[in-house]
Amino acid sequence: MSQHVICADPALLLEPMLRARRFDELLIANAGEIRGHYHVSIGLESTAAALARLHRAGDTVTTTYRNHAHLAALGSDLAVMFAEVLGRDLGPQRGRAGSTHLIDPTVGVLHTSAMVSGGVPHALGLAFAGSRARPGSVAFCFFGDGAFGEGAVHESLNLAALWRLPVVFVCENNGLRHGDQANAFQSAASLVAIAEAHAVAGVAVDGRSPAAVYEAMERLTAEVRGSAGPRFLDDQAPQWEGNRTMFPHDATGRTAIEDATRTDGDSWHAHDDPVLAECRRLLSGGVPLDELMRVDARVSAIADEALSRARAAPVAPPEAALADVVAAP
Amino acid sequence: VTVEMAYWEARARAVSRAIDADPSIIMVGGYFSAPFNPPDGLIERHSDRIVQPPISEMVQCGFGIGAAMAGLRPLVSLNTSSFMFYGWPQVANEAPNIRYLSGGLVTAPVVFHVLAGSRRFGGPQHEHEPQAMLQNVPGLRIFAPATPADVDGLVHAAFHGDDPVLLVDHLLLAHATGPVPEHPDSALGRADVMRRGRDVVIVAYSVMVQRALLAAELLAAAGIEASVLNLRTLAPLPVEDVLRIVRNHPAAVFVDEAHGPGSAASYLMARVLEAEATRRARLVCMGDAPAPFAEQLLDALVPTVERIAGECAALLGRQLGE
Repeated sequence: MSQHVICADPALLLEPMLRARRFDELLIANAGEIRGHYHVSIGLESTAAALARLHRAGDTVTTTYRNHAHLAALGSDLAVMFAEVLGRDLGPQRGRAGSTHLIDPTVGVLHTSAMVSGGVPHALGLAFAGSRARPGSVAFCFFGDGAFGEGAVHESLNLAALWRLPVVFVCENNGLRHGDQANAFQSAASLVAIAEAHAVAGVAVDGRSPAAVYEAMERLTAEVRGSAGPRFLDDQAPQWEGNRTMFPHDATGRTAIEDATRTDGDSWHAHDDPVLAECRRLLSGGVPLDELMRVDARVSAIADEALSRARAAPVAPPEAALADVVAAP
Repeated sequence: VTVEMAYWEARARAVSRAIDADPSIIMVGGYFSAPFNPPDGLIERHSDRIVQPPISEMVQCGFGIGAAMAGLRPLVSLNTSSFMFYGWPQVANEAPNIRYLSGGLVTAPVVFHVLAGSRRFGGPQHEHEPQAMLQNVPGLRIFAPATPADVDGLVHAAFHGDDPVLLVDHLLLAHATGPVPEHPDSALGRADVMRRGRDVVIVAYSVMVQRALLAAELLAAAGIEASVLNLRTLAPLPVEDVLRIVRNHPAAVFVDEAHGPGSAASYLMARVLEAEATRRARLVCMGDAPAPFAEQLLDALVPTVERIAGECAALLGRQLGE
C-alpha cells in the first residue's frame, strides 16, 4: 500500500469523512424524530472523501438511496439534508424526497434515484452532455454491489465503453465474498472481471483504507479526464454491523477519535472503521492527536448546529405536495 | 403560408427544422429519421448529434434523461412502443420525478418517441398503447398528434417545453394529409374541433381521430350529424374543452385505441358524467385481449370506422342505413 504518497493533512480526507460520519450518527441518535425510512453511509466514507477531493466544477455525480456520505463530503448544507430527512421545508426538496433522494445541484448531484441501478444510466448522459460543454469533466457514478443483479449496470458499462464516455463507475461493495464468487448473487469471480468483460478497465481496493481508495480513484479519474474512456472501481468495504437491520441501529457507538490510538481487541473501530483508519494514517504521518480532535470538534459543532437549524424549520406545508410537478404552461 | 402535406412529411420537416435550429437537440436512436423519413440529409448534417445506441432501451432512456438534466434536449427514438417496456423504469419512475424532487431546480426535458397502437400484423407484442399506463404518472407530458398540423406543432412544443414528453406517434398516420401552418401551433391542453355536427360528438386522439372523421362521413350518409373533437394531448388533458363541446351535444362517444380500463376515454367519460355534461355517453375502446395477428381477429377488437359509426348510431337509437 502506497499510503505515504498523499500528504498527512486532516483537511484532505478526514474532514469530509467526519462530516458524513457525524451526520449519520446524529440521525441514528435522533431516530425517534424521523418518520419513515433512511439509510446511513457509515463504513462507506472512503469513496465519499475521495469524491470530495477529486470533484471539480462541471463534474456530475449520481448516487443512490445510500447517499448521505456523498453529499456531506461534497460540502452540502447539512441543515438542508437533516431537514429533508425530517420532512421539513428548508431546501428545494421541501419534504418530498426524504433521505433516499437527497440532491444538491450546486455540487453536480442533480437527481438521486432510490431504485437499485436507477441512476446508473443517467451518468452516461450526464457524461456525454457534460464533456461536450466542458471537456475534461466527468460523471461519477456510485452504486452498490447489488446493482450488478440489474441489467442497467451491464448495459451502462457496455455503452460507456462503446462510446468512450467519461464515467468513473464506483461500486460501493459491502457484499461479502462467497467462495469463488464476487458475492452471493454473482457467478463471476469478481466485479472487476464483469467490468472488464464490458471493456471497462477497473481495479479493486480495500475500502477500509481511505488513502488507498483515494489513490486508486485519483488515478482512474485522471485517466477518464484524459479521454481514456470509462473506468471502474470495486470499493470493497465490509458492511457496518448497524446496517444489517431494516432500520439502522447504533451498533458501535459514537466514533471516538482517541480510539485511533488503539488497535487492540476485535472491534469494528479497531479494524474496519475507515474514519479511524484515516486518523491512524495521519497520526503515523506526524499529525498530533490534538489536531485531529480539534478538526472533529469543529465538524461535530457544524453538524450539531445543522440539526438545530433543521428542527427550527417549519414542517413542509400541504401545498408543497402539488407544486413542481410540471413546468408552468 | 399554409401548405398541404402528408403526416410523415410534416413530422420529418418538424424534426429537421428543430435539429437544424437548436444545437442542444440530440437524437438517440435514429428511427425517427429512417426508415420512415426521406433521405433528407439530416443524419449527415448532424452526425455528431445523432447517435445509435445498441438495443438497450434501459440505458437508451436513462442516457437521454441524464443528457437532458445536463442541458441537452434528447429525442429518444424508441420505434415500436412496446420496446419502451424494456426501458420502462426510466420513463415511468425516473424522468417524471426529477422536477418534483428538485423543487424545479433540475428538469429533464427528454422526448420519448414511440409508435403506439395497432399497426396491423404486429401481433400481441408489437401493438401496445402505453399512453394509457403513463397517464397515471404525474410529471410526464403526453402528446398524441392526429394530423400533420398536430405533429408539426407538438414536435415543436416537445422541444420547447421543460418537461419529459412521451410523443405518442402512430404508424398508420403516416399518409394522412392536411394543412400545416407556416408557424407551428404548439398550444397545449386545447382540443381541436375537426368537424361540426348537431347530433353526437366523437372524442378521440391519434389515429382514432382519422377514423372518427371517416365514421362521421358514414353517419352523415345516414342522416346523423357528428362533431369530432381531437384531444391532441393527453397530459395536459383538455378536460374543459371536452366538457364544453359535450354540453352542446345530446350524446358523446369516447373513442380510444387503448383498452378501456384506465384509458383516457374512460377517465374523460367519468369527468363528463361527474360534471353532468351529458347523460348519454359511450366508450369505444380496444377489446380486452392482446392484439391478435390475423386481420379479421384484430378487426374484432380494435375500433374500426364501422364500429365507431355503429356505436354512435346505437347511442342515438338509430341504425346505419344499408
